[in-house]
Amino acid sequence: MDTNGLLVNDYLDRVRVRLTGLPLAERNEFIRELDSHIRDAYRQTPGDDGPARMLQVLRNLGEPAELAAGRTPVAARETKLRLPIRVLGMLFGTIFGLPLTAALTGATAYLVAALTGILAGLFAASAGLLTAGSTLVILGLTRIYRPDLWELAATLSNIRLKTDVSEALAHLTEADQGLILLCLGLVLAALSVGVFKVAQQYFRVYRFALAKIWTAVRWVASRIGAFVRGVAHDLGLFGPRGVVYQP
Amino acid sequence: MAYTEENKDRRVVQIRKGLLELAAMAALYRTRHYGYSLIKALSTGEGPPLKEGTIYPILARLDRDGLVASEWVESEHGPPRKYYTLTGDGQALFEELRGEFNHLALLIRDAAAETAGPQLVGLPIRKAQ
Repeated sequence: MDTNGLLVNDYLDRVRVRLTGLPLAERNEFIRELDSHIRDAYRQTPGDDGPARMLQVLRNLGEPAELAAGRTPVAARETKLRLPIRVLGMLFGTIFGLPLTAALTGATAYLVAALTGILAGLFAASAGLLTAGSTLVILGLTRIYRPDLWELAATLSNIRLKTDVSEALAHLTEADQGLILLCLGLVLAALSVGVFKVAQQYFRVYRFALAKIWTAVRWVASRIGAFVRGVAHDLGLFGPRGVVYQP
Repeated sequence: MAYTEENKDRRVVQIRKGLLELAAMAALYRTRHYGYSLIKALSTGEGPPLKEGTIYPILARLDRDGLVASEWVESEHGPPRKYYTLTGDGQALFEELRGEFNHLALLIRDAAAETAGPQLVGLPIRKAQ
């Protein structure tokens, strides 16, 4: 869709969402009428084709909020019906809303915990691989340059290899064994760097996901807050009724 | 608060808004109009322009009270348009309101005449307070 189409759609959407007091058929009819107006006005407004001309047309038409407020009958904006409906809503909200909220809160907490767990796991894996890798490198170097220390350590800590492994290793010189250990250690260290990179990338996804979750949580909380405040107003808990509904 | 140009503009807009319903009925008395053509017909070209959208609440109110009838008409050169015409009830009401308006207009004109110079002959004059 071109820019003008987007501008018009956005404008009409902003009118539409504010026409809540109007029956659907009337709402659609009014939006259709405004659309017709905008197209006529655009054709008859001088200027180059483009967003500037369309914005001029929309400015002349007026603020979406004003249009909607003028078109919505006051009676529909605030009727006596609102109170029983809100009280009913509050009852249903208490019966179904609280368990639902609890379930949602639990699910969100689990989701956050799971995402955090993955993050921690990735960093831990990276750290573990690095530790193992550097240990193997040290062991390999020891095997090459100080075989005596190696034998001493093996004796002291009573290390025994399986017979077949020890036989296979026996064919190699001490330096070759050390070299193998060194290579293994370097491979693990490289793996650790790789996992760390993945963890870094994941951290960005994690932050993004958390921001989204936070926004959603705040939105839900604000809706609930607005609803509760509305009920409180209807019940006359905070001063004169109706103040919050003024357009 | 001191008087400002902005203050004047606000009053002008206020007066126009108040009279817009009557003006719309007048425009629709003989001619059918759609929203955009109606607002163009009502634009005086002087002073601060009315937002075009202000015509729609008025049309909706007239429609709700059965004072105008509306129908969608396809057009060759533009989008389909919703045309409004004054109904019989609307015409009757307009005649009554016009009498009311003329009375007020006379009062205003005569007040001006009294301060500005010679009085108009044969018209009721209201004393300035």
